[in-house]
Amino acid sequence: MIGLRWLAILGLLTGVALLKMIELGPAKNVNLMGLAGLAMILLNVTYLLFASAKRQYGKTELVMLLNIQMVIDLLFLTFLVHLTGSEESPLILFYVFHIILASIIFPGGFSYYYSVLVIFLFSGLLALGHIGIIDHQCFFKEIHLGGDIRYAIAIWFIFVITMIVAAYLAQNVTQRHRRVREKLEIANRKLQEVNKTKTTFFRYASHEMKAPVATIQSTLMVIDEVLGDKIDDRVRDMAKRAIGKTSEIIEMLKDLSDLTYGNLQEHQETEELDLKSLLSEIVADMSAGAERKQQTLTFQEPAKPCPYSGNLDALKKIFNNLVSNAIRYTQEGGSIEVQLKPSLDRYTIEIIDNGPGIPESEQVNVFKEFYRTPSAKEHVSEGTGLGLSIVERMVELHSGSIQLISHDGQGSTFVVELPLGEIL
Amino acid sequence: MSKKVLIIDDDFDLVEAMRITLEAAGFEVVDAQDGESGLAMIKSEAPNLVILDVMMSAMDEGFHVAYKIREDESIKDTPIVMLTAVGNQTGFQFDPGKDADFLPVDTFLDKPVNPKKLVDVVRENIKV
Repeated sequence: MIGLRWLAILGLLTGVALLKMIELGPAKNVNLMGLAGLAMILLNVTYLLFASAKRQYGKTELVMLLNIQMVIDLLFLTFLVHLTGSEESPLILFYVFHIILASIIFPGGFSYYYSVLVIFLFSGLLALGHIGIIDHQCFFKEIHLGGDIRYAIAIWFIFVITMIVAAYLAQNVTQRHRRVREKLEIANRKLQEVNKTKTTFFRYASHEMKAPVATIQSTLMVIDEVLGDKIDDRVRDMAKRAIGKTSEIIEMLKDLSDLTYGNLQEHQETEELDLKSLLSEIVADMSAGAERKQQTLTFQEPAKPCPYSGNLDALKKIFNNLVSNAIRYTQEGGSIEVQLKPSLDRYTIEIIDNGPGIPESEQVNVFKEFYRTPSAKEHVSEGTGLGLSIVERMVELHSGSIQLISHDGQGSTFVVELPLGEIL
Repeated sequence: MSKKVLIIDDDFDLVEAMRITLEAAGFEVVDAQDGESGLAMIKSEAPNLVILDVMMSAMDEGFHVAYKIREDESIKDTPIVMLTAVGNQTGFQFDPGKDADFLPVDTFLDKPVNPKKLVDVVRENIKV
């Protein structure tokens, strides 16, 4: 409301300046309008100071303060209408704005109360002018209709109908809008609850499924590793293959569980961390895997620390996944480089490999759940196809973005951008 | 004399797998199916180490058993290896590194249990 009032004041003072230039109205009235504008500036500054001094209001208190401002505004407008010729004044149309504003700001039937107030103010102005208690102002030098009672009655009649209809329409539209918004809010809350229940259920179900598979794998490992000497080689091979299958199931359950990450509020905690140290740690952890494939894994780190507020677990998952993918899919002897580039409003992290690359036709699908590119399946048999979906979701949790730049046979670069500022 | 390990876990098959592994490595193994009988057996059997599952009949039963062991003067020094298959799936978010101060256990061991790792962890904690 304070913002809108600045606009009104600007309009008024511009109007005053124009009237001065073309000398349309009496100089005394135009000067008074200018003074009214200055008074409104003072008043608006007072509202602004009041609002910044005490930011938290109760609902009743807020409604009362807004009502006071609205009534004072209407008194000002009535004064301006008086200065510009009462029933002759084009400013009477501005009363409609207040009716619409009242229906938007206040719940219930406030727009009707304001239409009554506006009618009362305008009627009072006309009546006082015509019985001679206040002087009728002939604002437009060459047009003087105000003295004619028939003109005044006609304008008053149209004015009253306009205000009532405006109140009715504004109230109707805003009420409908409020009802739709309430319904949407209720539906949204229900959806969030259902989603939370689903996620919680999924996590428990996932654990319940993982527990017996973990037991099966533990048992198979005992058969393979502890009792291996006492059993037939073929049985031992079967046990080994079964261990591989159970590993896939466990990996899948873990990935599915990670996909629900961020759906629950308890995971959305952030902490102050240093991205440079985090990436350095991840690269160090992964270096053994790269060495096994005679790959070069390097980290181009910036000179200074990179403070960032984010979720440590999620960030670890993002970069562990991207770096381990690069190691998995890059040929023996290849190279992987991690770059961290700070800028004013974001960190850009690039994971660059000189592996086989991803054909353009397959790039649109790489972030889709359960999708594994045919070339990925060809190079590495295991994998759930969930890793990059998880990475994308976790990057989004940080209001960031992830992009793949790759050409068939020319390596791949995953670019993660993490904006600084409010996240999660 | 062989060292004694008490396994407190309600998963019979997992207990058997660990029993075979540990017995093959020269340990004596006793087991309990729940926290209450497990606590009683710590006193009666005086094991050199306890392997404790986090989730038994109650979701956090393992934690309660661990606290009770540490509160009881006669058994509080018994090393505890806690079996975890939890992490993201259950809502328990703990990290042995970060949370060791308030979780009174010596080592966390992930399920599925790798036999070699199990033997290493038990040996390390009993200081064989």
